[in-house]
Amino acid sequence: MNLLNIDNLHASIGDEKILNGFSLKINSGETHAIMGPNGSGKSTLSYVLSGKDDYNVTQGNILLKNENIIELSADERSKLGLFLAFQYPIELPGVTGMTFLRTIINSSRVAKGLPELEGIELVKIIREKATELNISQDMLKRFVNVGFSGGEKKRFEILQMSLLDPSIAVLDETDSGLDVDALRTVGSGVTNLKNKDKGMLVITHYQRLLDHIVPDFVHIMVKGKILESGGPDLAKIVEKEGYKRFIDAN
Amino acid sequence: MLINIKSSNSILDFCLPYKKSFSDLVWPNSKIETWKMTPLNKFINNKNNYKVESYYKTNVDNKVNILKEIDANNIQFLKSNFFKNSKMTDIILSNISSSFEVFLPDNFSSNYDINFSSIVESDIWASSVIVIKTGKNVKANIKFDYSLTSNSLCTPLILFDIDDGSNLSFGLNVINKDNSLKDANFISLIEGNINKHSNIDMVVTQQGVNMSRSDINMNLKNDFSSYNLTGIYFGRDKHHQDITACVNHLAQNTSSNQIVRGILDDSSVGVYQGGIKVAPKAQKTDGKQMSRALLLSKLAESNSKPELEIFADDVTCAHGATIGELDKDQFFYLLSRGISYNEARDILIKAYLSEILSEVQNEFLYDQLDYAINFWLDEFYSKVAA
Repeated sequence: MNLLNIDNLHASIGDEKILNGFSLKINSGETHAIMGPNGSGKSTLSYVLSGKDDYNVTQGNILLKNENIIELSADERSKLGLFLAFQYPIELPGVTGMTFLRTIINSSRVAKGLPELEGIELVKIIREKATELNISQDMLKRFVNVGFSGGEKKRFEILQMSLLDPSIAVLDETDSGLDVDALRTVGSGVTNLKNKDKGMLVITHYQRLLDHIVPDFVHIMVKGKILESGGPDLAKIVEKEGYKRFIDAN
Repeated sequence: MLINIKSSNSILDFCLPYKKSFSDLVWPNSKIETWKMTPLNKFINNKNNYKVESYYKTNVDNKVNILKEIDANNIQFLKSNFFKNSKMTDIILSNISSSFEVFLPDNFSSNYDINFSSIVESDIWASSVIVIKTGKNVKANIKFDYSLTSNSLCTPLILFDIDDGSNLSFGLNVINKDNSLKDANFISLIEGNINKHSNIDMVVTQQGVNMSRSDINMNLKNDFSSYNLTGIYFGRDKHHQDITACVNHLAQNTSSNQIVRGILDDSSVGVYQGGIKVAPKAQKTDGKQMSRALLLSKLAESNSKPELEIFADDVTCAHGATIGELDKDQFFYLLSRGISYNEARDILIKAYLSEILSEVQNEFLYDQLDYAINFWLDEFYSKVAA
């Protein structure tokens, strides 16, 4: 089943055009990786997909499970099953991790037509998933992302992803700021969430993340659009030769 | 029960030179630096015909004899310490309607919170002088709650004299259950001396009246004295909220921490004026002040003026003031998790407010802040729902 269909997407911020005819289809069960040099528009793509206000879509469509989401707000997109793991997760001083997770779980359940969960049941679910990702109970008592290390922030993103169980997950440079061990934990956390019903879009600079989250397809993005697509070997070529040959060839 | 202590002849005699009719009073205007951002002559109309009257209720059982009239000895002390030449002091003394002293003797340790409340009815000006005096090694919690009515004025002057080794937790709350007050104005002057190894932890909350100002001036008079203020004001409609707080470090090894937060909706205005003054001999001073104002409306306005005046060279002082709207990136983060716009806004407002709660460890003071915050949130949500 086609989960995400991005068709000839053009987007700008202010007068600056960033996406220039980006197209990509992701079917259920598929993991796609987008690689590209700095400034190629990778993070913009993740923000445009998730509905950040600052970006102006000037042309093209984004279909999520066959529904055009261009006009939908970020919360509506999330409720339809889109999840963005932030490159730089935002600090929420005054909001404890547990309160935040309880709120997002129940918002998501209401959107799916399920009854809200209460107290102990909710805490139990959160604790189970947190333990799987090596997230301590103490971390859940702290304000969201405040004083978290790079690894803690990324694990907390993956915990949210695991609890919300999205149809399409976009991981924006999830490897940035992670040491080797943290990368392994996050990588296996994400891999455990892969299944035949879900699609993933992994945005990264480097091959190293793709050792842990093995993609089915790799796309090279330059100047706001995909220049070349291939299998996992394409990432290895990038690792060896850099992006120059793709840029020169186009 | 009602406090039935009449103003003593000593204080009435003392106030006699200040006596003036309401219409002859000259209210502080914008030409006076500390009143520039809250010129009272714009808020208080001398044509109002107030009756001068005030009463306080308390839970204090006066068998313990802690409530007294302000006697001649006290007047002498007050003269030399507090009643400096200030326009607002003169105004309060021009028409006092109640005055009393809360005296907590050496080693007093209350097993209950000492509460005072005052409701100022319509067409009333309640002007009072209250002295809170402790002996040595006192530990007590004291709270004053004020509630106003349309066309009323409340001007308490509260003076502290805290002797060595004492710890006082003090709360002052201005709160109103009536949503549609007109011409309800509150101005408090709070001054005090804190002596050796003594401490005051203070909470001030302001909301619901048209104009409210707490003007606080504390002196850390002897070594190892300390003072902490947590202030919060809430503005809506065209309300004007002002917390002006200055601490004077006059001895060595003294510390202060003043944290003030505001939340301003509609066309309301918030003012924070903060001061840390460090005298030449006040070495090893540790003074901090931090203010933040959150604007929920394009028409709301906040003015901040934090100041440091340091004449000693071995001190640690910090100050900062920020004014802003709800953070766009935080909003997007919450929305991206499927939280609706309204719910995200509520979470961020609560988060902003709960941050200040996390600064207060004292349960007596925490409860007052918590009550004021929830009171405001209830009003806010009922307005949003309407």
